[in-house]
Formats: sequence, C-alpha cells, structure tokens
Amino acid sequence: MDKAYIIENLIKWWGDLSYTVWMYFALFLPLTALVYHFVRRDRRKYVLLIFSWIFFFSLSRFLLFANIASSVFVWALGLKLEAINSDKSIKRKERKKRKKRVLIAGIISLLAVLIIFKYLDFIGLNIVRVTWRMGIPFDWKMLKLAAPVGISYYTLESIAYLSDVYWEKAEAEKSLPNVLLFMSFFPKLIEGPITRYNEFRGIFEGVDIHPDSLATGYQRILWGLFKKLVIADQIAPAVNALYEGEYMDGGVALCAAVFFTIQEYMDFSGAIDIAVGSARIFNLRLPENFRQPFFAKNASDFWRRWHITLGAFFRDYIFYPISLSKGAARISGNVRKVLGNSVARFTTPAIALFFVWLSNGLWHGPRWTYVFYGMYYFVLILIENILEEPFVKLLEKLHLTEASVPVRVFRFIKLFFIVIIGEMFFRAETFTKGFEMFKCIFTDLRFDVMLNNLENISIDRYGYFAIAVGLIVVITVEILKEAGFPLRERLEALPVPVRFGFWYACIFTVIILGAYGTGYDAADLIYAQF
Amino acid sequence: MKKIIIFLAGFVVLLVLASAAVKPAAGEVYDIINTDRKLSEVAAESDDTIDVMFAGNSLLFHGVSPLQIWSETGITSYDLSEGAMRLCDQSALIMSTYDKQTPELLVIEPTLIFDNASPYKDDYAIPTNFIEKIFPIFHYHTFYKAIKLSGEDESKRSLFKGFEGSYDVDPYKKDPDYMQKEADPATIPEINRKYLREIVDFCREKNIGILLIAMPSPKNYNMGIHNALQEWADANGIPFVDTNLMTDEIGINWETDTKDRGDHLNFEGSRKVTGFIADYLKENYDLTDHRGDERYSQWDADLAEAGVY
Repeated sequence: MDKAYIIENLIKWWGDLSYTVWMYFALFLPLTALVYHFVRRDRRKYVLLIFSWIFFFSLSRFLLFANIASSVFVWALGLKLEAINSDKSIKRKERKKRKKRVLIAGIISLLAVLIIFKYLDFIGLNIVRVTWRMGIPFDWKMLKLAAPVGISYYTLESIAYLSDVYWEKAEAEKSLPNVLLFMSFFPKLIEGPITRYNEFRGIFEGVDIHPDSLATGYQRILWGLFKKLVIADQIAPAVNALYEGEYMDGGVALCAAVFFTIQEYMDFSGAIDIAVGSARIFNLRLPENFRQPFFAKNASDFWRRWHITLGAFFRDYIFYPISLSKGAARISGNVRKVLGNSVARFTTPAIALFFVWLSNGLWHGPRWTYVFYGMYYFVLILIENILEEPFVKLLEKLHLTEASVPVRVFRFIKLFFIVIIGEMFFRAETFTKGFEMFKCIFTDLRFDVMLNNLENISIDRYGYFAIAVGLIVVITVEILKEAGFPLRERLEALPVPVRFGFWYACIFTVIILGAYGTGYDAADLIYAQF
Repeated sequence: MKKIIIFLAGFVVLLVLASAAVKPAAGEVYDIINTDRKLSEVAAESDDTIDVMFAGNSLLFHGVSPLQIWSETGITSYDLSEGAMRLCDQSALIMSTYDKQTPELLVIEPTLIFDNASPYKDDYAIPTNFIEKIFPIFHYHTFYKAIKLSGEDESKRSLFKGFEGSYDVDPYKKDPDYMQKEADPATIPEINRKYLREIVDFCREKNIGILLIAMPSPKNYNMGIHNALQEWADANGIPFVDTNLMTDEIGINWETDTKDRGDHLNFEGSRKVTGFIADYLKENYDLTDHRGDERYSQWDADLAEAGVY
C-alpha cells in the first residue's frame, strides 16, 4: 500500500467519527483524557477546546468557522449586555430598552444563521408552492447547504446564555476561549443535551480526572452503547423496511410506529448517555435529558421526562416570557370580558403553548410533518389541561385515586397511543404518508400482513433475540430507577471480582449482540439531523 | 488506578480468548456464517469424490445444479457459492475444502470479481480492520447466528450439492440485446486481483484446472465487464465462456427463465444453463463418468430424493 492510499483512506475512515464508533470511545476520548491529564490545570480547557475543534472539523470540515464566528458573536454580545447592565449612569428604563435591542438583534442574528443553513430550501419550496397556485412564476434552486454539526443545539444554548445575561441570571463570560468551548464541547455537540452556561462553568476549572470519574463515565458510555448498538441499530432496518414497504395496513402502521418509537428512544437516550458519560470523565455533569418517559402520567409529564433540556428551554425562554408578557395579559383580559373566567384562565397558557409547540416542531427541522408533530402535542396538552379538573372530580366520584391500578393502566395505555401516533407522523416522509398510516389503523387493521412483514424485513431471529434481551434489560433498569432503587450504589457495594465479572458481561453483550461490522449498516444518530 | 489497569488487562485476556474461540475454520473471511456452513456441508460429502468445484455468488448459487450435471454426465461437482459471497470467502473455501476434496477443475462464475472482495466490511477503514485482525471477536461477533435451535434440521449435507433453485418467475422485459450495446469498460480492483492471483497460484500448485463461466444475467453483464474478464483470462491463460453471448444457443427465454427480472436464473433457467455446462465439461475436459461406481452411490440416492432431474 502506498503512502497516498493510506493517508486518503485514513481520512475517509476518520470521517466516520461518531459517538458509537470505537475510534471515539477507545481512541479519541482516551487521547483527549490523556493529554488533559498531563497538562497544567489552567490550560486544560484549551486541550478540550482543541479536541472539540478536531471533533467538529472531522464532521463538518471548514464549517467549524461558522461555529467559531457564532461563538465570538455571542461572547461579544454577552459582554455588551453586561456593560449595559452595569452602566449605572443610564436610567433603568433606558438600560432595559437598550439591552433589549441588543438581545433581540443577537437572537435574530443567531436564528438567521440557523435558518440559512437549515431552512432556506424549505422556505423557498413553500414559496414556490404558494406562488404556483397563485399563478405567479417563481423558481427556487435548491441550495442543499450542509449545516455545521450541532447548530440546532448550540444556537439554543447561545440564545439561553444571552437571555440569562439579559435577565441578570448569569454573568457574562469575559474569556473568549470559555465561550468557544461552551459552543463546541464535543460530548454535547452532536445531540446535546442542551446545556445552560451556568451548568457548564465547572469545566473551566480543569479538575483532575479521578479513577472514579473515569470508571463512572465509561460505565455510562457502555450503557449508551448497549441501547444504541444492541437495540436501536438492530431494529433500524425493520423500521426502514416497514415504513418503505410496498404494502401498508393498520397492523404494519402500528408495528412501524412502535418499532420507530423504540429505535428513537434507544438511539437518542443512548447518545445522551454517551455524552453525559464522556463529560463525566472531565468531572462535568451535563444535565439529564431523559427520566423514564414511559412512566409519565400524561403528555405534558411525558415532555418533562423526554428530551428534558429542550422542553426546559422552551419553558424558560418561550413559555414564561410569553405568559408574563403584556400582550398575553391583554388578550386574556379581553377574553375574560367576552367569554368569562373559565375560558380566560386557559387563554394565556394556550397562547404560550402554541408558540412552544410550533417552535418545538420547527426546531426538529424543515418538514411539515414536524410542524404537525408540534401542533399534535399542542392540542393534546391543551385538552389535557382543560380536562384535568373534571377528570380529578370523576376519580373522586368513582372512589379512585391517581395511584389506583386502573387509573395507572388507563394513563399508560393513553400515553402509549399518544406517543406512538405522534412518532408515526414524526417518522413519515410526508404528512400524507403519515395520515394514510393513521387512517388504515381504523380502516384496514389486520395482523397477517404485519406478521408476514416481520419475517421479511432484513432482521433475523437473532436480531429479534438481541432486541428482546436489550429491551428486558432497559425496562428492568427503568422500573428500578422509577422506584428509586439505588442500582448504582448496590453495584458498587459488590465484591470486586463480582463487579468485574458484571462489567465484563455487559461489555461482551455489546460486543456480541451489537449491530455493527459485517452484515450491518451503520445507522446514523437520529437526533444529529435536527 | 491500579484497579482500572487490572480490569483492562483482564479485558484484553478475555478478548484474546473469545477471539480464539470464534475464529472460523476457513481462515480470514468476511461472512463467517455462510463460509462455515458451506464448509461443513462440503465436509459431509465423502472424501475425494468431487471432481469439479464451482465458485461464485448468487448467480451461480441459483444457476448451476451439480445433481443435474451428475444425472446427465456422471461428473461430480459441488457448488461453493452463496448469495453476495465475497471473493475472499470463496478463496478461503476453495483452499480449505482441498483438505478433503481434490477436484480436477475449478469453475468460477466471475460476477464477484467486481464486487467488494475484502474480508472487512469497509476496505478503507484500515485501523478498524487492524483491530479486527488482532481481536477477531469484533470481526466475527455474529458467530452465534450459526447456532441452530433444537428440532431444526441438523443435517449438514446439502441434497442439491450447494445449489438452490427457485420456482419464482419475474420476466426480464428490457433489452434482449444487452451484450450488443456499448458499455463503460470495467476494471478489476487491486484487492480482487490479489485474491484471484492467490486462487490461480493455489490451483497451479495443486494441478487444478480453472475455467471462467459467466451466467446469463442482463442485470450483471455487459460488454465492458465481458472485455475486462476476457483480458484477465487471456493474461492468465484461463478459458472464459460467457453464456451471455450464447443465450439463443442455450435457449434462454427471459419471459420464463429468470426469477427477478434478469438478475438471477430460476429453476427453469438453471436447467438450461446447467445442461449447457454439463455438455461443455464433457466435451472439453477428461472428467470421469462415475455412474455405476459403488463409491458414488450416494449421488444416485440424492438424485432420487431430489426427484426433479
């Protein structure tokens, strides 16, 4: 093999970098930790920054400069806001007005960059659709721009940071490298979790890597790999085959939606486990993004347990500001005059919720199915809010409580269908396809086609076996966690040889049952595209 | 930190042990499941009874029936091919089956010469392949898929000697003169040439003749591929028969003889091509007709059990 061939292939290979490939957790991460360890404490953040840039560059090449430019912009704006905050020579009202201008300019600029990279083609195509119907000639040439990795995540993080400085909930960061690291830190780059600046500051201290943090971090990474490789990637070909199959009936549609829900949860929460585990090695505790979502009592509770950091972002930076705004209060007042108090009390939350869920849908990407997904939850959560009180009264009449088994079973079944119907549309290529799938649940519900499909969807019985083993383990762990069982502490209390045996068994389960290498196509991380 | 080092050392030891346990018998291969199965199927044949080995991928797997060749000529043969089989796997099979079988002729169906021939999923992933080489457990981690459940067919013999016919019919309706049209010249990748060289050297050393026979397949053949194969065959002094140029002579009817629109032959198509190959072998090679020889009585029993020839 000649040198040029080797170099060309190594570059191609490095381009496959992601959280679930060995080069990340067995090469990139240990190398980062090693260099970090041997560098003076105050310089460690620079090590993390350089490795984050290498990570970024591997995935997005020179779009790294878009990230750096955004970071410098956010840093400068943060300082500007701080300067206005602390300039006591200006009157309070004037100060507020000025910094509001800076904040709005900052948010619009950051969103503009996001829109240019991710939504321009979508906007252009929809303008073409509308103008075509109106008979106005307008053409849109698809730009197909590649977006910088993680742009949806770091845009929200920077908006949160600027807003916090604006509200004086956080101090503006004086150090540019700190902001650069915040915006590009490799463990949270691809899929979050969306981290607040105050949650991130600890990393700048460059705390020593302790054997415990190393072990805990890698154990969490292993758990993420288990979810992603043993379950999500094993089930991925089945999901594709079911969604793209020639024949669709209600059974196939339901099965496709259930399989996709499993895949998405395991894929996304697995990647978050890897992110949290990676950061843990450097003594940074990233916020959790999932908390046993299928134990939620209703749709809004589900969203407090599923993609928690996104929900929290929308709560803090959209829901509250709109709820507390003068505009919302005015509308609510008008509604009270016309329709009375019982309707008015739902008006403000409804307005705020509408924008929360519209943003949620749009954030996932430029597709109408995502907008529908957002609106689907908006309507459901609104209905839930309205019906909550009558439901509690009904329970009282029936002498039942929230903890009663029939109530819990009812809530679980209701949530299960709410979630899988939502995911059915979410995964569908078009809204029409999603709607056809939904429709045939009621018009063409048979199970023979589904069973026949299951045997022919490029997943063999060993694949099903791996998925079943994986799900049993994950469900057991989730039940224990929900019940507050101290799983981790109990494991740590075991004698060393038993503990070693346990972790070896876990590692070999992933090595043997994982969907990687010969016979498998690597499945991209689902939430990396959002 | 000491504990972590001990843990990692133990992990390496376990990797070495697991790797030793799962390494396939055929040597370094891409698809451990198919190669191991083929190997055990061939091993179930009586020693030194196969005169012709067929190697290839699904085109051959669905195209040439050794039982039919037996019924028509008394020549014994075996089909080492399998769907999507890579050249590296065929090479390993050819060499490892030689322990028990000493064929006089190797017939290669050459579509696989243009497919990925590497034993590793991605040839470019040099470091990944290196790790898989050191710790084969990562490469062969799906070894468990060969495990059969109790009650399943435990017989390792292949009644049809490696061939699998299909009664599906899905006509090919496009251009019947696909070999007349101009096509881009095809190139044989370097790694594939390496495996071909190994096979040729092995056969020369063991005094095994080599013959290339291309199956009729409008989806997989054109003149660009034909020319590249002819060039390679000429350079190596190997005869090359391209049945795509003889479909009229063989009597291929694309309405009835393909199972998937000109990709693979179905049973009817395989009958015609196998008949042609049986005649070709009989005319061009001095292969023994073993019919009536008691050592080969199993072949007659299999023929009767198959009941289709």
